[in-house]
Amino acid sequence: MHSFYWACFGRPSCVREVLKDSRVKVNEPDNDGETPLCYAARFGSPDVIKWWIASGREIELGEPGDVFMDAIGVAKEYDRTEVVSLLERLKENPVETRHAVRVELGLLDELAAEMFALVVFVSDGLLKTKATGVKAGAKRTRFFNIARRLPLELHMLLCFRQVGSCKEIIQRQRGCIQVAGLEPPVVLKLHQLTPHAPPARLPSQPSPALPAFPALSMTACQSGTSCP
Amino acid sequence: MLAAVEKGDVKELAELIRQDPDFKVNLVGGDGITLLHYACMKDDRSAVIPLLLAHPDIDVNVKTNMDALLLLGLFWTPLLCS
Repeated sequence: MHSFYWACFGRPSCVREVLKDSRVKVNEPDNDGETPLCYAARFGSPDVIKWWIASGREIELGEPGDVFMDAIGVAKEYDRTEVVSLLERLKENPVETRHAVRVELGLLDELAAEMFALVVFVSDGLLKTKATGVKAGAKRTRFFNIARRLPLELHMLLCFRQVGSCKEIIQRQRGCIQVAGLEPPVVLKLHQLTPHAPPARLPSQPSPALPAFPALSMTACQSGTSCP
Repeated sequence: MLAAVEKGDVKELAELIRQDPDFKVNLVGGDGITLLHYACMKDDRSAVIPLLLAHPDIDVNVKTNMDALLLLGLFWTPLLCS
């Protein structure tokens, strides 16, 4: 069992910290062949799995019937109804589930949620290697899907320093993000505009009551000016 | 260092690492776990995780050298009760 296994035993803040390190093999089975997700499904709190989902890192649910890797089956076996529900939602509709989980965890806006995901990418080294060529594969596609929605300044912020808790940074700055490492320093102002539509739902599915998902626009201004 | 990790005291751990930069961060103790494993056991120790992960020699995937079920009995059950 490596560190991520230990974190999966119901330690949400530990999982959050460990997930930021790309070297952690989150889906690697232990010596018995059981995956961290199975441990989390059996022993951990649902928040552990929620932070994992919110991070955007890959989650291998395993094949049904596989005694070591079928996380949903393990959760059912141990009567973890909330975990079963969460994982089944994830299996059915990953995008919508990730959105709902991020809102639930307090990542109340798109930027905060994507910043947490981007910390993972910074940790992966994808942003740093952008100038010399990004690694190929699925991560590249995912990186560009996220990156093209964020301004260059934010990319640079994430390149220059590890962002700790994006939620804290946004709150601490009263709607502004101080961009470090740029000369002259830049402040990104966040303005909440019109409500942003959550991902489309299938007609047959009941619409869960999600809070409005505010859209953000960002404008750069010089440091030292007052932010609204 | 174990005491600093147990308290989740980042400053104390950083100072101890500064004093002994050559310490074996991946050393598996007699109980079969490393400092990082120990830090991952409780939420109030999570503050020291980034510090340990920043160590240049850290192996984040180093595994315990004891049976998982035995470790669970040793650590997980008492933690639940704490």
